[in-house]
Amino acid sequence: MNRAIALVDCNNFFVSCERVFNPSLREIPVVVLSNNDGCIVARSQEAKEIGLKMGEPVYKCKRIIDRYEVKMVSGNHRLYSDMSRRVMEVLEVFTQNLEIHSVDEAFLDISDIKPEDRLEYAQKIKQTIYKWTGIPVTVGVARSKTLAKIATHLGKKNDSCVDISSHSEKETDDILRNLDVGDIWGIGWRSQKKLSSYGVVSAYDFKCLDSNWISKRMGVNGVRIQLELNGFPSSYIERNEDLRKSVSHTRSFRKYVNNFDELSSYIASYTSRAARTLRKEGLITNCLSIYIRTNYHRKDHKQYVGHISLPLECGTSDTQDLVKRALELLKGIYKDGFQYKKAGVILTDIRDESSKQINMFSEVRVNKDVMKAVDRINRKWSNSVNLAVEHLREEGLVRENRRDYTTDWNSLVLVG
Amino acid sequence: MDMKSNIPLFSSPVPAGFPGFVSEQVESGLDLNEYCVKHPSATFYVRSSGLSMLGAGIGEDDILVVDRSLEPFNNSIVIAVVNGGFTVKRILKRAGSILLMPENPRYKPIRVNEEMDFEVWGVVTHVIKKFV
Repeated sequence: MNRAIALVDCNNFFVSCERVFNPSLREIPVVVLSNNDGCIVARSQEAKEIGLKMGEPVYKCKRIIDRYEVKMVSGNHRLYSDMSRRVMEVLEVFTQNLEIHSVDEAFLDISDIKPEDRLEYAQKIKQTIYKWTGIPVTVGVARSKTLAKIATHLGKKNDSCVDISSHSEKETDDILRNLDVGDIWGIGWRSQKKLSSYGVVSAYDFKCLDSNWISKRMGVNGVRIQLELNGFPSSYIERNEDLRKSVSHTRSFRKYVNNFDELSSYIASYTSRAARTLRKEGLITNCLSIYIRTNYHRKDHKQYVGHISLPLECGTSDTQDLVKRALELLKGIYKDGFQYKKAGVILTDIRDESSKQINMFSEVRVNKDVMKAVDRINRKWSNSVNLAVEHLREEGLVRENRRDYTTDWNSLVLVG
Repeated sequence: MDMKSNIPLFSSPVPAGFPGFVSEQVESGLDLNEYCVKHPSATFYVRSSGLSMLGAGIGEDDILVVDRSLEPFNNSIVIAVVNGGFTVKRILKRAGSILLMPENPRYKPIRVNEEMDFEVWGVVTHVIKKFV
């Protein structure tokens, strides 16, 4: 059976989400900004074409932004999470063999679809997602995930679906010849530099390398990539439901706890244990919940149960990050005057760690340090760098307070 | 976190004024979500901000339940995008042309032509009016 994997990849996802609810943003250059509106974290196609780069601080792009009247929108991760959920739910209608890879990408195993029907199937997926959610996507079909990424890459060029799952080796090679080795999924710029020093420039060059040579210099991952370029899938669709649904650590205390400090040290230690379990299993979490409670068996004790959940902007298994957030959550639910007997930390919305996204809202890979500095400066001296930002804000920033169009009754789109 | 409000209802009507014998069990409660939302992934809520559809029962500040998965049929009430803005109107397909009809004599119909930037955003399935 000719194995076929489809990659569904949303086009300019954050911008597309905004465009569903604000059609005046269509067909013009639009950028989505990070926290504090410091840096560009997403661009529309038009914004890409006028030279705006990912991760660029806004003040650096002022000239381009002014000249082309680029619309700037503050990042809104609640909206993007909700729209992502919708897209994935639509995909589940097509197949249960679904692996959510990131907020805007998913792999589907469509091996059961006859080869001659696969392109049409991909197009049906694209049409259905657009109709039901308003999000434009590109679908690439191939024999492995790495090749599916390449198929999608090709499809993005002219907004079409691409099926290379039935391509002959020669046809696939032709495609690989026209692709940079750095465009292969899993080969970053560092590897690309190293490879180019050996004369390996195109994806085809890489495919032709001796596998032992690759193994020595790039390890088992490099060999895996080569296998996939040859059409041999080295990993299968890992259904998200096959992953654990949650990782939790909940314990009763030996003695009663009636102060914040002691309770927070329990929460910190439970969080750190849960995070360790995540890392051990190669997982990340997208939602952190904690709870604290009194002993309901003691009728003479005042009773209280506090619980709270926080969806995370980006998946993590980092102890420090999770502990910091857990303690902030604890501040929100802790009440004085109670004898606490039990606490728990629950991590849900579990994904495989390979789907870890760079935190689009407070860290951008390209200009991470600059962006952090900009935000720091903005926070400290609201009149310095912000001067430029504020000015831009008045001119081009979409002025709406809350754009939680799908998660807040007070933020619904108005229709005349 | 979900907060569902289920209102238990008897499964068979009790005739008024007659000390009848209610044998049925109380069923699990009624869920308004289940009633209004047939395709959760494709259902959105918007708020009406004008009076162009007053005759259809849509007033200022009402919530409209919009299902994007439905095909807009002739005479259905739709949310449409016209030249970059949202509007709620009844859609009329007639002899190859499309008309967006208001239900208020103070508003004019919109005839959709090729130059216009037009798209049906979704079909309005319910209107929710708040009294209290």
